[in-house]
Order: sequence, then C-alpha cells, then structure tokens
Amino acid sequence: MTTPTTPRTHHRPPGATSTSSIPFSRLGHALLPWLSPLAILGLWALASDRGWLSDRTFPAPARVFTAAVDLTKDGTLPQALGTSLTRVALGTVLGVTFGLLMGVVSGYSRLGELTVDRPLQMLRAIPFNALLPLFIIAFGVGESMKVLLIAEGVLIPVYLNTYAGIRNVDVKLVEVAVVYKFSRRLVAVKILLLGALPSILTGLRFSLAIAWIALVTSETVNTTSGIGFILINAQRFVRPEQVVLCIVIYALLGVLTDWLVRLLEARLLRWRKGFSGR
Amino acid sequence: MITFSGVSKRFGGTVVLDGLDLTVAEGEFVAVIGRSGTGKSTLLRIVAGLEQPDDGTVESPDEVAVAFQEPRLMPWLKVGDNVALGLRDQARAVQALAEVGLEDKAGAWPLQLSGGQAQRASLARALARRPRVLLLDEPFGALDALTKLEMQSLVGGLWRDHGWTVVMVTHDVDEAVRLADRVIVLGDGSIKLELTVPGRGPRRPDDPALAGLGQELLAALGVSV
Repeated sequence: MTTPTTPRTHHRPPGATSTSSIPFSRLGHALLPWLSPLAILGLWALASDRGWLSDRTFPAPARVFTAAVDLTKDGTLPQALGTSLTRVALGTVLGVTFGLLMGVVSGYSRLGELTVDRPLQMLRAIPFNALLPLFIIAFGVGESMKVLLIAEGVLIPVYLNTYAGIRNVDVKLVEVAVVYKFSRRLVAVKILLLGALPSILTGLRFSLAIAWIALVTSETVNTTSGIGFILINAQRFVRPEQVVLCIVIYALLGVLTDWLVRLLEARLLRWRKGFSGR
Repeated sequence: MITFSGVSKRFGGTVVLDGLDLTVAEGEFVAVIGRSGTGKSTLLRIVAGLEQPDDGTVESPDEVAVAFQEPRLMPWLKVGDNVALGLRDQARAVQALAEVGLEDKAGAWPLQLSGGQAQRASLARALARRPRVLLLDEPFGALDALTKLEMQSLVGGLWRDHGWTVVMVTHDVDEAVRLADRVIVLGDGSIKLELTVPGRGPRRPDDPALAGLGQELLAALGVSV
C-alpha cells in the first residue's frame, strides 16, 4: 500500500515544475502583469498624499483622474483621441505596407537589394524628428505631414525585419520551390513572407513604439487637435494634471498596441513550437 | 528516361563527378550508393535542376519530384496546404495524402508530425505533382529501423502502382537491394560497380538472394565485414 502522506516533491522529476511553480489560474495570469503598475499607482498616491510630491509639479492620481473626466465630459479628450488614433493608424498602415514591400523586394532579389537597401539604410540613419522641418516645408502643417512622418518612422523597422526574416528562411525550403517550379508570387508570399513573419512581427512592435513617438513629435508643432495639442496647451496654461494625463494616455495606448501585436502573434504564429517560458 | 553523358561537376578544386555516363530507363528503379562526398547527391541535384553540370549534358523529363532527406515542409503551412502548394487541382493533394496514409493529418501543423509522418507528407507532396521521375535523396536516413522498413514498403508499393522512373541515393546497402532494379556504386566521380537485382522491389528484407548482393556491394565500397 502506498503512503498518501509522501510529499509530492519527492516524486517530482527534475524539470517538471513548470506547471506548479506559478499556481495561478488563467485569470491570475491575465491580472498578474497589472499588479506592478497598480503598485506604482499606489506609491504615487501615497507620495502625493504625504506631500513628497508637490501637487503643483506632479499632481495626485485623483486630480489626474478628475481632469480625465472633465475633458471627457466636454468632448475634448474623445475627439483628440480619435484624431491621434487616426493619424497613428494611417501612418502605420502606410509605413507597414511600404516597409513590407521594400523588404520583400530587397530580401527576394539581389538586384532589389542593390537598388533599395542603400537609400533605406541612409533614411534609417536620419533621426525622424530631423526630417520634421523638411516635412513641414514639403507637406505643410496639416494631416499629411503627420501621417507621413509616422509612416517614415514605422517603415524602417518593418523593412529591416522583413529583409532579415526573408534572408533567414532556410534555403532548403526555397529549393523545394525551385524543384516544383513555383511562381515568383507563390515563393514571395507562401515561403518568404510567411517564413519571415516571426521577424516581421518583432519589427512591427518596434514600429508601433516609434509610431507613438512620431505622433508626439508631429503633434507638438503647429497643431490644433490631438493628444499632443492638449499636452502643449496644458503646458502653456500650467495644467500639470492634464500634462500627466496625456503622458498616462500615451503609456496606455502603447500597452494597448503591444497587446494587439501579441494577439496577432498568437494567431499568426500558431505553427511554432518554441519555448514559451516556464 | 534519364541520360547522363560525360557529366562533370567541380566544387572549388574538388572533382565530384568526373565524366559520368548513365542511362536510367523509363520506369526503372535505380539506387545509387557510395561513400560520403562521392557525388551521389550532386547527381540527384543535377536531375532536379538544383545544380548545373560543368561539362556534359543531362536529359530528363520536366515532371520531376524530389523527396529529400529532411522532409522540407513549410512549418507555417498545414500539412494539407504543404502538399497542395502550387497545385491547381487541390483534390490531388487529398488523394496523395490518402495514398501515404495521412488523410487525417491534413489539418495538422508539420511540427506536430513524427519523423515518419513528416517524410510521408513530403512523399505525398511529391506524388501529388504526378511526376514521371521521382528522386529520393536518402529519404529514410533519419528514420528509426522499423519506420524505415515501413517506408521502404510504402515507396516500393507506390512505385509499382505509378510506374515512375526512380533514382534513389542511399548509403544503406540493404535498402538499395530491397527496392532497386539496379544498384550503382559511385566512387571518385564515376561508376565503380553496377549490379542488377533479380526480381522486383519491394523485396522481402530477409530474401537470401539479397545477402550475396549486399556483400558484393559492400566490398565495392571498400567495407570488409
């Protein structure tokens, strides 16, 4: 007869601890990443309450929250959010499309690489905010300047990672295409582009981070709408709670877009059998 | 029919094929054996259009299919899509999967397959192209002994049904005499020995007639047992 009192750990083979080392449910796993930001929020509230943070420079969370409610009520915030999100969305779509296209051209063909790679590497070397004056002169201060600046920032990581991802595709798989005489289109899409997808999605994450930076840069010059406009106005009229609000919104939007890319990865990279942490 | 006339191939300073002459008849199953680096894979890659000969000519039909040593399935496409890739008639893929006994794996990802299953999927992709020539590059080399025997029977049976011309590169003497009509030993870039195997493959692995042939081939390869 076995003794039920034997400690489980005694029988557990080494390396089999992955399921039991984090004894959380699915809900726990979903909530856990929010624990540390909440702790920071708590510390912030505490620091404001105790007067360690001056209310005139760094207002308490409650004041920031009230600012959010006020700006939502008078319609300023929803409208600004809509404007800013539209700019980021348009710029991202434009940048990703162009980056993918150039990446495939340069990754697939040696001639394409010789044609396309050098100018794009030069573009990469230019900090995109250095392009701002030129973009303003060329495209004015309207929407097209902002969207194009975001697109320019987005395109670089997508291009680099598409190119690198394609060049990492196993040449043995491409040989299959040679033997069976697949069309160029089929090779480009079903072998190179899909094979490069893990790398492309990493590029997309970098791109989205840049998209927000480019948005802030473009929205802080000559703007009359968007989150950046609220930010600049708040600075001008010394409304620190609105300044902090805008910063918090940028942070939340960043987390949101990262989450969207993760969703996309989970969906598109189901075929992978890689290490997922323990 | 496949014809090699005076085919030479060099990589850097190394001569891999040296004026090779070889004719494979329509519907014939030829096994090519040889030690590592004797150009057996190069011979196959030339027929597949993956290498160009430096000298000489190779004539072969256009409808060529290959099963490589690694299954070479696109891991990001489901098994069914791998088999159907580039085909106009998707029904052929379903049929080919059924022929190799993988009809229930069409919706699986390649990384979920065992080694033998992946190799069968690769074979299904080859036969879905309705080839006239099937090239096998050590296709069972990475499989365990039992799976290997099963795969040999499968390939031999399919060859009988379809009547392909088959060129199989292998380092396994038993496999060669079990399946092939003719076994060719390559050495120093040309044919060192040519043996006709009586009967038709797939033969029983314990067929006593095969043992003597195996010894002869091993001797030609310079292996003393």
